[in-house]
Amino acid sequence: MSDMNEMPGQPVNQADVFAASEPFSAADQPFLGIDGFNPGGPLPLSAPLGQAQQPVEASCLDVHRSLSVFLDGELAIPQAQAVQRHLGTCGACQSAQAFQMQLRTTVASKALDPMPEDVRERITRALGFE
Amino acid sequence: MADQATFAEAAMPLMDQLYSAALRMTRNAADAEDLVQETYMKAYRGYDRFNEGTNLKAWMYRILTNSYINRYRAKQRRPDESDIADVEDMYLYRRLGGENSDLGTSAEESFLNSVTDDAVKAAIEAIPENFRIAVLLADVEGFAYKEIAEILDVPIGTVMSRIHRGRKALEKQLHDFAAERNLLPDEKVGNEPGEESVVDADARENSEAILTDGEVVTP
Repeated sequence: MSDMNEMPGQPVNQADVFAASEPFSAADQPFLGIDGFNPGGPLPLSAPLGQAQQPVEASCLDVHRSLSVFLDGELAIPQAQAVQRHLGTCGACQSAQAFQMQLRTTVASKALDPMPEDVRERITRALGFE
Repeated sequence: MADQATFAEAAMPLMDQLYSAALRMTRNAADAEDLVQETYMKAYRGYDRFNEGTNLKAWMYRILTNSYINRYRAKQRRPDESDIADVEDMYLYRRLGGENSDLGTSAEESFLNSVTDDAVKAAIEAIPENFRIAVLLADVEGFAYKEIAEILDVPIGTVMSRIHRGRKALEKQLHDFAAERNLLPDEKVGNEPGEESVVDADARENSEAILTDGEVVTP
């Protein structure tokens, strides 16, 4: 692990640090394989992709558990498609999805504070940008 | 290689966002102002090593986060906040009666329409630190998991776990706001029997097991 304290002054290769994201593999993203995601044990959707002979299906419980990751756009494609298909047919899960999306928008839009002008000017002066 | 002469144009527009994040981290204005200033000074000095064309915003947040951890976490007695109460998925939605079709969506809409900036800020600031930073980076700043993993220098699985648990803690806090404002359906007002606060749950679970980013360690 790099010494984060010295990060700006270290000869860190930023191209390595912030290289373009590689797509997640299925192994990186078991449908619900992280602790807290799947307290009840493995679900059918966690089957390896290569073994899936037919499209995976998502239950309401699967959707509830994976909605957070789904809305982040970070669910593996077959699982995301399964969630999307379920949402297309389940009004209850659609309502839940709509609420979670609105909640995120609300949180993001209500946690903003503009930098006080005098402090902005102080920092600008300190950087010699006057 | 980035030219320091271009730093002002590229980095100064990020200041309000960085200040908002710094406020949620430090929870007070004076420390947040100092933290942002420190971030800009470090970034400016190190800017010749920033590769133009890569993600300046993520780079700035990494400096901000590292500066916060190094400067302010040391002030704390013992930031033993890796433990967090685990509540069910969609905690707030369920408490607002979202699954009960008879109640319709009035409680949800009332909540979303009436929750205040101060309530949202206080709810975020009440999340234990590691989880709070992950939620901030994901839900307020809009970073992808991979970017957050790089900013925090932790594995993606840890990022996912922190975001997931942190969001639940956030919903628990917002639920408390809804309860105070009497926005919950009648039968759900206040804590249910057997329900415990995050603080109580932390205390209880500390005595049972220490969860560190999803890894259960039995004392």
